[in-house]
Parts: sequence; structure tokens; C-alpha cells
Amino acid sequence: MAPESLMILLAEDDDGHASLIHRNLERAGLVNGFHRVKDGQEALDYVRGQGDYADRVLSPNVLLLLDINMPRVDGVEVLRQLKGDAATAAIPIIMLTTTDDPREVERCYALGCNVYITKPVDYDGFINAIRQLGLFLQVVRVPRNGKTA
Amino acid sequence: MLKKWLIVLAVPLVFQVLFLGALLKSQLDRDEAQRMSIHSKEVLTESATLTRLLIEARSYMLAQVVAGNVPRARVEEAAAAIPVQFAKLHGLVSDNKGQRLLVDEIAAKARPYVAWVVEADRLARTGRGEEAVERFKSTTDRATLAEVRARIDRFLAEEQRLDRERSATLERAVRGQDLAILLGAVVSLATGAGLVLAFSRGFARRIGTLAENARRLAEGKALAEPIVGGDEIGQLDGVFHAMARSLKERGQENEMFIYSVSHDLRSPLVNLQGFSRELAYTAADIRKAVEPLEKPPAAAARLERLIEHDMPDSIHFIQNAVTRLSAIIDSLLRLSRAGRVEYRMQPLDLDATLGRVVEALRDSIAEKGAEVAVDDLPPALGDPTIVEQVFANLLSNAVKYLDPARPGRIEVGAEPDGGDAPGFRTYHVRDNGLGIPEAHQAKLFLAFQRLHPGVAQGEGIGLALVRRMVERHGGKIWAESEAGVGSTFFVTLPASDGTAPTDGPIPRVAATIGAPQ
Repeated sequence: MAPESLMILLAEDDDGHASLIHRNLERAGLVNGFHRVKDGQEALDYVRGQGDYADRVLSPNVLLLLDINMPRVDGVEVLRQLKGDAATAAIPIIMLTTTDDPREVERCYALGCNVYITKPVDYDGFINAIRQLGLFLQVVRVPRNGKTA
Repeated sequence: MLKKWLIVLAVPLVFQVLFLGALLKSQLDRDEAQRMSIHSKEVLTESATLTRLLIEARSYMLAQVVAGNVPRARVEEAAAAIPVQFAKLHGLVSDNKGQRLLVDEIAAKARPYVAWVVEADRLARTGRGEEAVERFKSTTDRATLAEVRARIDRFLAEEQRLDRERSATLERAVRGQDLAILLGAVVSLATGAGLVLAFSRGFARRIGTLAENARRLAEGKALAEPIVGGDEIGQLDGVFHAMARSLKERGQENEMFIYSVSHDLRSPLVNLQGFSRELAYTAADIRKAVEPLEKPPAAAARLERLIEHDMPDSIHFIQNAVTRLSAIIDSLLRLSRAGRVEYRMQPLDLDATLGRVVEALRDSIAEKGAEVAVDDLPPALGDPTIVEQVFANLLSNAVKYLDPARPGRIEVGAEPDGGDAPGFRTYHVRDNGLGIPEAHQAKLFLAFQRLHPGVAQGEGIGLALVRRMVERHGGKIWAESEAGVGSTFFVTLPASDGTAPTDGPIPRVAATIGAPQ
């Protein structure tokens, strides 16, 4: 277990999806801090400690679960902004989305996402992936404050 | 188009009019030449008459002098006729100045001669014959006659020359006319034929392209290059191209619509699947939480029924429905994608393809205790993934709809040729399963038509998809079936000459897969 606990930030506009993901992560044994935001702007605010989250106590380690189709600022834009800024580029970002358009996948990887998971029609596969993710997240180590070493 | 036909008619007509004109002129020339020729002959004849008259007058006169027995009238007649003849000749050659002057000259010379003849005759009749003879002996008589005759000869010579000239002209005119007729006929025919040929070839070619485009439009293939030309054919071709574009747009719109709708449906689907699962978990949690509690028996029984039966039942049905829903949406997506995905055509080793398909279905084949036999299949041209899906679908259907009353037998084979489609090969998948009643056969390849919903899983999209795939290869698919006997599905695919790279060392499946011995 890492000395500083990892904060999982989920950016997902669909409440149902968000609930499902959270429940299944828990079932997979995830005990990390978990916070859910509803769109890309909130996600950016949270990571940067601004806007609604200006007074947030910045957790040093953040991992982002990012849906692509969100209002205001979508997932790809969040990806681009965070990866484009040296201060936040090292934050691991996992894309979770219903789109399986190969061009979209390629674009995300080109922008620097770490993993791309499709929320498939096959629910079992999806849950399995979340479960694996949960296990994975338990052992992953992230640089302090998301800054590169 | 009408203009072109008019040209085809008009040009030879023009030629023919010109030709007729030339013909007419040559006929006129010929008539003229003939007239002139006749005229010359007439002149010659009249000249001969003149000569005769002169000689006749002299003869009568001499006869009178010698024999004294010539009726006076004869000489007088002859003498009177001579000036008349001269006048006639003068009239005849009035068109030719030279000849006319000559005639006058001769007349001038002949006049005193005729007067002398008349005089001599008178002398003879009045008993002064010796005087006449004396005068004969002088050279005047003969010389004058000789002069007159010389002049007449000259006149005749000229007239004969003219006659020859005119004959030659006539001959030329005749020949010219013959040539004109021949030339006119040939040129008129040649231009007519040439125009018709050029026009019909261009016309036939364009109509051919038009018919070809109509056929391609019907089959949903790409059209040839637009036909050039502002006439009706070009317009019709333009309409075809517009139709093809409109159809394509419509088709693309449909596909986009299906795609976007089915895509949007995925998100709520995740929730449906997820929360029906969550309900199941919650039910399990409730059971665990409730179990250790003390319950009055009635309540316990009720609780038991709710937790063990009612809730699981409801959840089960929800989950089933959700699974079906997700399968339909998935099929819709695949159907819409079938039109959009690029096919990569290559030679296919169908023996290998069928091998993989049968292998993938091995479990369900064994479960039904069925027998699958695959003949040698000639190679075809197509997209490997897509063609494999086609056969997988057909074979899977064959297995699914077997008749439990008899041992299932499925055959995959090929006809010797593409039937009435050159360049294609016909393959078939035959089973002795439930068959398809005639009433349903028309709707077989439409989407969402299911005949035996209770028999097997599926959304009724498979055959519609398969047909789309086969048609995009340029082939056809159809079925022959009899309820209670079995079905045969036929598929035509483009033929390949067999230079197919095999996809790995997969053995051909000619073996029988059935219940283990």
C-alpha cells in the first residue's frame, strides 16, 4: 500500500454509469479515496485546485478515470490540456467510454492517455475491466503531486 | 437528337439535289449538242440539194441545146429554186458569220451563172443554139461553175468540220453525263452511308452506355463516366447519375441514422445491464442480512418467497431482455457498418475458410449430433473476414434450425459454374432441418423477420446482413426450401483463378463431426 493514498477522480456525466463504476471498484476491493465530477471543466478545476475546488486540499496523487462524452468540456479536451501542461502531464489518465471508433482511440493515445477502455455492450467484459483496473490501481505508484520527477 | 437525324437525312439530300442539277445540265448540254449535230447534217443536205439544183439546171440547159426536147418548165423551175435554196441555206447558217458570208458569196457567184444558164436555154429555144455553143467554148461557163463549186466545196468542208466538231461535243456530253450519273450516285450513297454509319455507331455506343448504366443503377454498382452530349441521351444519362447520387446519399443517411441511434442506445444499455446486475447483488445482500434475523414463520415464509423467487425472477427477466436488447443494437451497428466498411478483395481459399467456420461451431454441431460435410470448394474473390462471416452465419443457421426429429445433415458444396452469371461461382449450404414455409420465403432476407423465435437465439438480422455482404461482392444469395424437409442457401461470389495464398496449414474439413463414437 502506497504511503500516500491514491485519489481516484472519475469524470462521468451519466449518474448511472458513475454509480456502477464506483460500486464495482469497491467490490474489487478498492479502498482509495474516490471522487466523482460531472464534466470536464469540473475535472480540470479539481486537478488544478481552482474554480469550485479552489479550496480543496490537494491530494498529492491523483488518477483520472475519464469519460469522453461530457458536456462543457469533453474528455479529449481534458486529456489534451492536462497532458499539455508539464505540471499535470504525469497524471495517469484512463479513458472509459462507449465509443470504439478506432480513430478516436488513436487520437486519445496520440494525446497521451495511458489506457483506453471501451464500455462495451458486453457488460461482463466491462465489469471485468473495472475489476482489473481496481486491482491495478491498488498497486500503482504515482509521482508526488502528479509532477514529473 | 432530332437535329442529328435531320443532318443524316439532309446531307445526302443536298448531294442528291446537286447531283440532279448536274444531271439536268448535262442533259441540256447533250440536247444542245445533238441539235447542233442534226443542224449540221441538215446544212450538208441542203448544200447537196443546192449543188444538185445547179447541176440540174445546167443539165437541162445542155440537153435543150443538144437535143432541144426539154420542157421549158424544168429549167425555169430549177432556176427559180436556186435562189430559194440559197435563202434557205443562208437561214440555216445565220448563226455562223463565216458560213453566212460564204453562202452570200456563193450566191453572188452563182447568180450570173444561173442567169447564163437561163440565157443559154432561151437561146436554144429560139433557134440560136450555135451561139450558145460558141459561148460554151469560152472558158467563162466552166470557170464560173468551177468557181461556184469550189466555193460550195469550201462551204461544205467547213460545215463538215463543224459537223465533226459537234459530233465530238455530243459524244463528250454523253460521256460526261454518264460519268456525272455514276459519280453522283456513288457520292450520294457514300455520304449517306458514311453519315448513317458514323451517327449510328456513336448513337449505338451511347445507347449501349446508357443501358449499361441503367443496369448498374439497378444493381447498385458504380456508374460509368457520364455520357457527353447535350441531347436526350446525355440528359437521360445525367438523370441516371443524379439518381445514383441521390440513392447513395439516401443510403448513407440511413446508415448514419442507424449508426447514430444504435450508438446512442449503448449508454443507457450499460446502465440497464449494470443495475440489473446490482439488483441481483442487492438481493443477495438482503438475503445475507435477513438470514440471521429472528422471524415469525408467516413473515419468514413470505420473506423467503420474495427473496428467493419474486425478486430473482424479475431480475432474471430484466436481464434476459437487456441481453436481447444489446444483441439487437449490436447487430444494428454491424448492419450499418456493413455498408461503410471498406472491403479488401483478394483470392480466397474457401476450403480453409470453411474449415475455420466448422471448427468454431464444433460445440453446437456436436450438441445437436449433426453431421457436416464440406466438398472441395473452388476459390473465390472477396474480403476474407466478410466471406467468413457469410458462411459462419449460414452454417450457424443451418445448425440452429435442425429438426430434432431426425439426425441433422449439413452439406457445403459448389455448383460447377456461376449459373447465368459469368465470372461467378455458386456455393451452397444445404441442410435437412426445419425448412422454411413458402409464405415466409419472400421475407427471408429482410431484417428483423424471425420465423422460429422459440427455437434459437438471434435477432433476425443475420440474413439481411449476409445479403448486404454478398451483394457488395457483386454476388447474389437465395434460398430453396421446403417446410419439414430442409433448406438450401445458394451464394454466388466472384470466381478466382485460384492463385490464392492459403491462410495457414489448415486441413480441409471433409470429416464428419458427430456424436463421439
